[in-house]
This record gives sequence, C-alpha cells and structure tokens, in this order.
Amino acid sequence: MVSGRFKSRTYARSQVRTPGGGNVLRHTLRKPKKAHCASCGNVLAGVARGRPAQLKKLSKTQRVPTRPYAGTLCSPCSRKKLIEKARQQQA
Amino acid sequence: MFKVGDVCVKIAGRDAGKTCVVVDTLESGLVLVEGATRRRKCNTRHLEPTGKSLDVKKGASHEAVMKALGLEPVQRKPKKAGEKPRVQRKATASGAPGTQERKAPKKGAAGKAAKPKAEPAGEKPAKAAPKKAAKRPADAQE
Repeated sequence: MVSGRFKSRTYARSQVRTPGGGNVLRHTLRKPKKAHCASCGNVLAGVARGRPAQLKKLSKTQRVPTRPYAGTLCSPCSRKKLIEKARQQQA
Repeated sequence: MFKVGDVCVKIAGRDAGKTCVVVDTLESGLVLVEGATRRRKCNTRHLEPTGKSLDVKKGASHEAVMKALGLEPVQRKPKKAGEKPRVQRKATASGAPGTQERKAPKKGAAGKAAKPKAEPAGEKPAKAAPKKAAKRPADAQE
C-alpha cells in the first residue's frame, strides 16, 4: 500500500520503467509556481523557485534581482512606482 | 534635455530610487551621473528629473556633488587599475605543463596573436590568450 504521506497533492506521481522491465510508481515533490507581479500579475523574472529547503541553500542574490521591489513588482511596475514617489517628493 | 547640474532620481537598476546629479553629457546621448548612486554612464530614460538644478562643475568629484546635495559622501573603495584580471583558465600565460602539451599546435596561433598585443598593454594577452585557448578544443571536437 502507498504510505499515507504520499496521498497529498503536493506530490506528483509518475510511472517509471525499471531496468528489470517492471513499472513502478514514483512520488516527487512539486515545485511551487512562479512568482507574479503584485500589481499587473505578470510572471516575475529572476525570482528563484523551489521549496523552502532548496531556497535556503541559495544566496540572497541568487534568489531575487538586486533592485527595489525586486520580488514583489515587475520592472515596469516598479519604475512607475518610483516615478510616482519622485513626483510626490517634488510636490 | 539634461544639463550639467540637473538633480534626478534613478528609476532603474540597483541604484533605483536614489538621487543623483548629472555631471556630464556624452556624445552617445548618455549622461554621466554622480551622487547617492554609483558614478556611471546612464541612459536618460532611466532618470526622472526633479526639476531642481545645482551649481556643479562638469565632471565634478563625488565629494563636491554630495556637498551640493547636502548629503554625506560615501566611502568608496578606490579602483586599482593595475590589478590582476579575472580567472586564468588552463592558461598559456601561467603555463601548466600538462595543458601546454595538448595545446601545442593551437598555442602557436594564440601565441602569435598574443605577441603583437604584448607590448602596448601588459594585461591584455593574459585575458585574450586564455579565451582563445578555451575556445579551440570545442572547435577541434566539432
């Protein structure tokens, strides 16, 4: 029987053909989905995907771009926000 | 468009959101910028003008610009021009004996190319030769 922990949908199932010729079910953890921009919803470029344990191994610069609003907003949206900020400071 | 002394805010790059002053305009249309940002060439599309203007000389130093902005100058590591260039790969320059034997026929061509360059700049053959040597085995395999 399949052990209870594999029944969760965070595991993906795949059929694997063994060298002996038999078929075997393998369970692998799914990767989390890509990060999206908080305002326009586009996929964010340069943001690493992985489970917490995998992300911990990466350095901060490997996880996210080096830019204000890096992991939250896409580059066009962050530019709009910075322009807004600059104009507010003027006024 | 942008004049020397214009105060701007950078909207792109890792310096985004920081105030800077235009310190020189270049022929290519780019602009030299200094201030809370790094001293660098920048596209005018990546700058948001604030409408303010400061009295700053063309090509002003970091301290002069920060004084005009009313900020404290940032401590920066001075760039050393004569420093060793980056990674030396299976290099003809450093001369590991095993690699030299393998690359002897190709090394001649790289050596010939490197020699005329050797005199004007001491660093360049060290950079140029390893790149050429690294490419050759790939070409030979194909």
